[in-house]
Amino acid sequence: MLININLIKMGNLRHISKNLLLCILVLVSSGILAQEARLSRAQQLLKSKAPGAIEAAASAIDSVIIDPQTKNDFVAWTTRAFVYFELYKTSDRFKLNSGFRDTIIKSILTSNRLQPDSGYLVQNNRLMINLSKSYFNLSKTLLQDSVNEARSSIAYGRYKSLYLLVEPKMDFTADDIKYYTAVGSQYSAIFIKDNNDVKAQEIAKVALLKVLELQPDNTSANINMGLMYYNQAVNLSKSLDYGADFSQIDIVQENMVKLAKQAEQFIHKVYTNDNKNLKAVEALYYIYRMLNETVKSDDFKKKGEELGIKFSDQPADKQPADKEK
Amino acid sequence: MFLYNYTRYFEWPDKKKEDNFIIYVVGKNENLIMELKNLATKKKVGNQEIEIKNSATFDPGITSNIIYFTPETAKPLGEAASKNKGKGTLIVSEISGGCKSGASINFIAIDNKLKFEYNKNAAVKAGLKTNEDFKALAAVNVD
Repeated sequence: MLININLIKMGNLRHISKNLLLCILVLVSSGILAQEARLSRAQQLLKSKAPGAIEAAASAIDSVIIDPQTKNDFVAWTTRAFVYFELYKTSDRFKLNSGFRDTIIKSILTSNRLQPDSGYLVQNNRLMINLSKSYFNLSKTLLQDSVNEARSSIAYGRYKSLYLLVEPKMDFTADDIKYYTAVGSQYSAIFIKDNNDVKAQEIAKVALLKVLELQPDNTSANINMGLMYYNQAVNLSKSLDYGADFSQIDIVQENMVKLAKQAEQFIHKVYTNDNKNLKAVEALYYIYRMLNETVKSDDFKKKGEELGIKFSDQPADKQPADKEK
Repeated sequence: MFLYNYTRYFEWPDKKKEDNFIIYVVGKNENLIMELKNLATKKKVGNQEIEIKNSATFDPGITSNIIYFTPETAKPLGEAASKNKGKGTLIVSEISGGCKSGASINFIAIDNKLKFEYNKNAAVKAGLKTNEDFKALAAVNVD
């Protein structure tokens, strides 16, 4: 009798467990289905151009990627990257720091970690390159429009970092030359305009030396370096008080000569590579004049005039004042 | 600056202290003229105002305290020296051998720096009282 009762109890228990298991399965399946439906909804909203669709897509996809059932689905993460890309395009494209951009990058990286199929991998990488290039454009804007080298340099660094995530063997030499030449030109022009702007001079020097390290014969970098040294010498000359005595004049001359010789090294390299470079010929005339090398300055004056340069004794930013005499 | 500094080491005859202190530049050097005109607005020689005169070629009719011949215009250096003998005019040039051709002071380049050579006798003949310290400042003394 007792055995029978136990058997009956065991049968009931088995029945209950079976039902429980079924319930769990149904619940899990419905959960997965619900997340898949959300993912699909997010994808549809992404394609939609209706107002508020992208915001709704973001909300939907955010819940998909935190759900344990779908958090490891690369499709969800790639979809999220594209949803946030739409948001980023509308408001954050020109921002150096953007939460949307960070979300896109994190989503792409997560998707790639989940070993997506080739189609998704290509999409992920394209999007990453797109973001990388937008950093490059931003670095140019921050440099040229905002004249903010610090922020521009951050953007440029990020451009390279993102690109390397997609193409780890990417060679940035050509980009580095282009970028640092732009920085050097921009800031050397600022320094030449205002010789007291030591910060601009330092930024320009660092950038131009980077260019010359990569490409020693780079014309623009050599010219700008030379002009900066030359202008420093001009500035020294201008700083002399009319009441300065001979010993003070001598010290200033000593420093001017050092600077002019440094300028000569850079400019002469350009002239050696291209003896018709107008800027080099013109600058060498003034440099040799500053160095009191009359034969050479006369020679460059003649060459310059043959090339159509009109030399002037009028003081200009690039010319020395005959203050010592 | 050199030209202004020279005024500290020479004494001009009283007659040349009556009016403005005239620096006469012979030749075309707009940059130098501009600098000197700028100097003239800021400095004096003793109580004298500085005045800058300029002509493309040497004009013997122009009376001055200092004549500066630019490198291209130094040919009449001898003529200027003889015409200004005893009149208290410091002649400055910038040509090879300038001090031997009549200039009291001649700019020269040494190690890329602007220096000058000095001919004390020429300065004395020009009617200027000289300062012995000045000889030590010259890179070359021509006697």
